[in-house]
Amino acid sequence: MKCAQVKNKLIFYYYGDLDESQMRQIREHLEQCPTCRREYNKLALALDYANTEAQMSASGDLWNKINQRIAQTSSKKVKILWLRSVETIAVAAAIALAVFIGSLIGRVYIEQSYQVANDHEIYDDYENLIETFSNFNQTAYLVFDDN
Amino acid sequence: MDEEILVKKLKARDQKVFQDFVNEYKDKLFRLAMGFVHDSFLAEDIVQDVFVKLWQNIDSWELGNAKLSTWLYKVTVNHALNVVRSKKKTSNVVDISQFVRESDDGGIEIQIPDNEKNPHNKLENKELAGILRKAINTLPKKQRIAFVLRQYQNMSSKEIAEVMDLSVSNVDVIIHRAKKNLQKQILKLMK
Repeated sequence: MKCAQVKNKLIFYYYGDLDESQMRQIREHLEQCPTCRREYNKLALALDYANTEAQMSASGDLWNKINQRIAQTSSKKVKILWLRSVETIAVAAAIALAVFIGSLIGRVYIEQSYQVANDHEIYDDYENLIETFSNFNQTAYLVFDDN
Repeated sequence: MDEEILVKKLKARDQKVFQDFVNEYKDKLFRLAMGFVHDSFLAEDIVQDVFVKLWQNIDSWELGNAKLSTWLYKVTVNHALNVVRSKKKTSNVVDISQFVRESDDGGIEIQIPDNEKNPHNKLENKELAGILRKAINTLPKKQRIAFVLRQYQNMSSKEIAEVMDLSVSNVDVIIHRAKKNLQKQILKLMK
């Protein structure tokens, strides 16, 4: 076999992929040809290292590391869910408080307006005024509910 | 354990079954990842990520899909390829003069370092790992995956075909080309 033919098949020789006759011809050629032998040795050095890598094992504590990460991920998820719940409750409470304060202010304002109207005898139908305010308040709650 | 029972137990968050499953596959996945990254720390990170992902997504796993082990190999390959893509290092040509010496008959011998005796072993292995990483990563994607599955998992063409969704004959052709290209690349890098 000539050098060019051998060089084309070095890796297949390394892996034993060739038929018996070709394996023998290349083996004989390598014994006689230092140039091809040098090429083969370089190739074999790298491929031997690949074989070493292919026999390596993961570290013994890999399971502990995985277990730890799973636990961390789970606690993070719980924390996020808890924060989201607290956030929702806080927003709802703030809105309810704002509505409550708004209705208090509204009631005080109407009572004062009634007082002024009564003083000036412009508006003496207090019941009518309260009804108007209640209707307004209900509408406000409906709008709030829609949102 | 039957795969159906295994998946049911994993979905039920059975830690003991999961631990056994991890112990069964951790070395296989580690070697597979090594075939792409050639760095034990990175390979371990990849394996951790794959198992955490499995634990988190097992609820959406449906029987009738590919085998769980095939899924693990696919995810490991994809994750390792992403890691390789994000890591660009090492020079093209590596000096191997330290391994080479003149033999008695005037030829050249390359000595593989003895792990026990050689204090510089780690550095030399690093260089070889660099050569392999460079050489394997220059292969086209399919050739790279097929070669690593064969070399680092000792998988048959049929098993590789399952992982890569290819025909067996196609896998054989791809591996043949991969080896040819790899020889070219390794010899180029070890000039």
